[in-house]
Amino acid sequence: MTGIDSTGLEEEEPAHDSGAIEALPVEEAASLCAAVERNVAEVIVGNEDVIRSVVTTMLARGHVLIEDVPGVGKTMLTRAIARSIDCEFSRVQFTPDLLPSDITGVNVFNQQTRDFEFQPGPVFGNVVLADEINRAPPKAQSALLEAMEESQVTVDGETRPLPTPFTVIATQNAVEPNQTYELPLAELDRFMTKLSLGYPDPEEETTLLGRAAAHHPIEELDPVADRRDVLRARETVAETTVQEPVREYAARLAAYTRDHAEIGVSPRGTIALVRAAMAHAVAEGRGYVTPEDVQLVAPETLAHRISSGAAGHRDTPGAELVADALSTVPVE
Amino acid sequence: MTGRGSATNSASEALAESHPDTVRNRIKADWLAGLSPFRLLALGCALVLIGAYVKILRDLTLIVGGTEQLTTIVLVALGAGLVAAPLLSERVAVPIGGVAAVAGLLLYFSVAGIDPGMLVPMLDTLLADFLTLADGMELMRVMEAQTLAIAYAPAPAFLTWYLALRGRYGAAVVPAGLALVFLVLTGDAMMTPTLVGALAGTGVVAFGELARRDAGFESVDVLTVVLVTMIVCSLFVPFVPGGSNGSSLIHGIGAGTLEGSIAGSPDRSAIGGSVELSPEVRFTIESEVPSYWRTAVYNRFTGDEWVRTGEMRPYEEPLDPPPASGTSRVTQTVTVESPVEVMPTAAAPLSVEGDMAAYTEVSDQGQLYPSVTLREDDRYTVESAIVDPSSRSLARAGTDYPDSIERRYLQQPDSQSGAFSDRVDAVVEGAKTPFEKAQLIESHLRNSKSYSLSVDRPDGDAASAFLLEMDEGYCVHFATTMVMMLREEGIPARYATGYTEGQQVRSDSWVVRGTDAHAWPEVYFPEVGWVTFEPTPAGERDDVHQDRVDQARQNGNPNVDTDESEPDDPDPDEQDPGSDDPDEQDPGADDPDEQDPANESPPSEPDTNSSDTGTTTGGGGSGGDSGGSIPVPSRDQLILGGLIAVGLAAAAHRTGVDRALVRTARLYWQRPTGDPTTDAERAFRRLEILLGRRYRSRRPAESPRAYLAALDSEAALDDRVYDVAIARERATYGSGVDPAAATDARKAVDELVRRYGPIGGRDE
Repeated sequence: MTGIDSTGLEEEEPAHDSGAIEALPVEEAASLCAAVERNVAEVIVGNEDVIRSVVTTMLARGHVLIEDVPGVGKTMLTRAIARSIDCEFSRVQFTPDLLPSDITGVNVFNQQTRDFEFQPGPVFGNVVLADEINRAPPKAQSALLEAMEESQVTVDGETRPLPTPFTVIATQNAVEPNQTYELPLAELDRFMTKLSLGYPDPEEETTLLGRAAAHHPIEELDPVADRRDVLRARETVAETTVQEPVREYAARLAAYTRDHAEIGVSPRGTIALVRAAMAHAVAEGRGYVTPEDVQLVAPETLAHRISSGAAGHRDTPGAELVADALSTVPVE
Repeated sequence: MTGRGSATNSASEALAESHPDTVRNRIKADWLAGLSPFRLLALGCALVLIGAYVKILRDLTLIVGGTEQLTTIVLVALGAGLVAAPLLSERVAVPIGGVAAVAGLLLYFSVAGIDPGMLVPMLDTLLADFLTLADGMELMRVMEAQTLAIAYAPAPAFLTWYLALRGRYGAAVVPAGLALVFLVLTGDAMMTPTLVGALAGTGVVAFGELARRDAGFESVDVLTVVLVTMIVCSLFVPFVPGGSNGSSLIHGIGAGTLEGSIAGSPDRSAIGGSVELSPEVRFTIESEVPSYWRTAVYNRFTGDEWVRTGEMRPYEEPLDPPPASGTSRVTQTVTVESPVEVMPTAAAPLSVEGDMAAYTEVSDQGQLYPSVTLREDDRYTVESAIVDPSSRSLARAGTDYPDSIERRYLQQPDSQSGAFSDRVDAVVEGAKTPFEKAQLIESHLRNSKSYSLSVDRPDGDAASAFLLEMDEGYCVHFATTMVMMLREEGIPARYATGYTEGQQVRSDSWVVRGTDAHAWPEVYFPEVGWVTFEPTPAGERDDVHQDRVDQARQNGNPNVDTDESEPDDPDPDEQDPGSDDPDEQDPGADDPDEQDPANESPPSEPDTNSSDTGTTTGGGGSGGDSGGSIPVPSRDQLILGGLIAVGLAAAAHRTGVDRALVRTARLYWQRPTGDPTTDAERAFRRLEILLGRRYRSRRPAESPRAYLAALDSEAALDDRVYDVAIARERATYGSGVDPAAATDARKAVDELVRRYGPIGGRDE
């Protein structure tokens, strides 16, 4: 039952030329984002905001958690993005019996060479879809989360770096909460953004049906960028200017959540907020972050990090509190 | 003092009964610890308030004597308040203050010769006295002014200081405030001390309240507004009766005329500067002999004005004749030619005949005054006893003056200098009798000073200034100086004003004009009475005055003559303007430089100063000379302007207008700083203010872009708005904005403000 879909993981080495990667000019990075978004929009109807967020999270070196009901196109979105940027796509279907090695890979004895050979798991991809992550027990979850945090996996004492770019897009099923292993807050914190697709409205669904009924549109999707472009765009994001007033604003937003909730936004969350804002600025074609960028990315980057303390009541207070913070904390 | 001790004991017992220990401890704690800035200010104001009324009394004692005693007793009262504040309860201290006040009054009455034991039955008289005082009779005109001032001063000072120290600020204002109000009602208070006192009283209450509430300094703005309003209003509404300097001189006859300054007011007469002469006819007097027509007599000199002390009484019966044996009776019939408030008579008047008697009042000095304004064609007849003693009888008269004369007519202001006394001694050296002394003084003044109507008002003591410093003056200066010189020598003398005999039109008829207004000294000789002296150089005076009449005739002034007084044969020279330069006619217009002994100008120097028409100059003396200079605001104007500015600023602060003004000013005025970041940020701030006025302000948590987007959805914004926003965004959040973009942003906002701004903007 290990649903590992390893679509060609032969090229083992990640390009170790990251030091030499030159940042794209902001305008080009922005047009790259726009091209990817347009491309993805060919297969995903509506949800432009979510597409933008997934793209910018990738550029900000973050990971995405999508929580939704089944069948709204989570997998489709992930695959479309991977395809658009001509990157390795892999997928792990999380089930209650999933083992960590099912994610990271195993050493297999090769009869011919009479040696152990590493058989990389699905985590060795550029865009990894971790489907229904809350269906697997914590042990399996943590294997993925460690890989996310450290961009490397250790199998049998041997540490292997993951390819770059490496982005996990995890999905979480909002239905059947009794049969799931809810991700603890500490692990949620490792996702830069938490998104939700939602159902399409009737109009969008009509369009969707028109496309999907004939054939599988994802097969016809052509890449609009390559892996190198993505890496260069990431550099662009890293070089984006964040001035003192914006940093202050982000810090004040975080402080507000800490003042008004049992557990507020962690410093990691604040860093994620600013990085997401940087990526957003680049996607807008700007070499600097404005408070609007912070405001736009704040709900998706902060809400899931906030807890009122009582288990099971995470989401609502988080979203509300972020909205409060945005309408209260003054902008300089 | 034993009474006070036992009172303290009983008070502390009372305290111990109700609140054992705590009350006294609390009072002590307040007293020691409560020295907040506001408390210090409140106490300072209390001292100023005390100082205000004491200052008025002190000015009084400077004239009548007793300054040192007054200062001492006020200081003692303040010391007593300081000691009493932590020791005595109010139930003890306030009665002590009351007793002190009553004791002071008793002292006054005893000195004034009123038996204190008689006071109770005389209560209504006493009350009437006080009502008279409060009705505007000045303390200065009360005979025992010195005693009253000293008796009056300490109790309010003690009470106010005591209550202020105990933190009872509201009550503290009452004693000193009442003292001040009383002085205002009597008319002794001048504008400045009254105003200062009122401000200080307000300050005591306000600062006291602030101290009690532990308020912050920003709450002072209301107080500032109140105080400044008080000051400014007081300048436009003189609330002190007769308090604004100089206005008391105006009594029907214009201020600034010689006549106005010497014959205008029945109560007081000021020593002024330059004056003009009115050539109009005032009276026609039918009399067998010419005389100086006296209209007023003054006995008390303050250094710059003459005051008549004592009460007026209605004329009921003929007055006592002078003690001289050989007096001649003269009956005069006076016809009034223009409205006046004086009643000229030859000295010394004895009786009034006819209806006028009912409208006549008699002063303490034996002078007649009308109780109504006399109108044209009013007539009255007076009989006078004219004292015309021989030189021998005067020389024999001796110095045996009656007490009542010595009490009234020897007063000298404290301000008189030692140099004055030395000079007087030098002038009268060798003279033995008062008559010789008077003659010496008279001739000294006549010979050493010349006559001029255009002089600066003397600084300080007018008599000293005229004797020691000035070279010319007019009758007022001569007469005043002679009176003070005589008093310096212990000879009773007084200051009389009125008119000279005038123009004789028939053998028994005299036309008296404004130009005849005059002032002269009268000297008392035992067994003779008051004798008129004339220190003013007569010839010079007559020339000046006659010139003025002739000039007025020439100008066609209709009131210069009566039917009879016109010259039968007009001097052809005077009809010819070409041959008669008016400036040359006018010795009064001498160059002011002549007053300076170091600069002897030749008399032929062209005269630029037509000061015959110059009005009283308040001491500046620049008269008509300052024609070409740029008007510079005076110090007072600057202070007033500053005050108003402070008040407005405080009011603005209170109402928030200042912030609105600053915002508006910022909207219109942006100076390039040379730093593009700052320029762009300021430009955007202006834009925000503009948009805020036109639509709504940006909410604090709203990002600028979201704000603009929200506005744009309501009303399409000018594109330049976005340019400015982006320039500012680059400057603030990006790595900077280039100078050209910053300048563009600034100019764009300039244009937007011009177009949509609150001033001159057009709404669409």
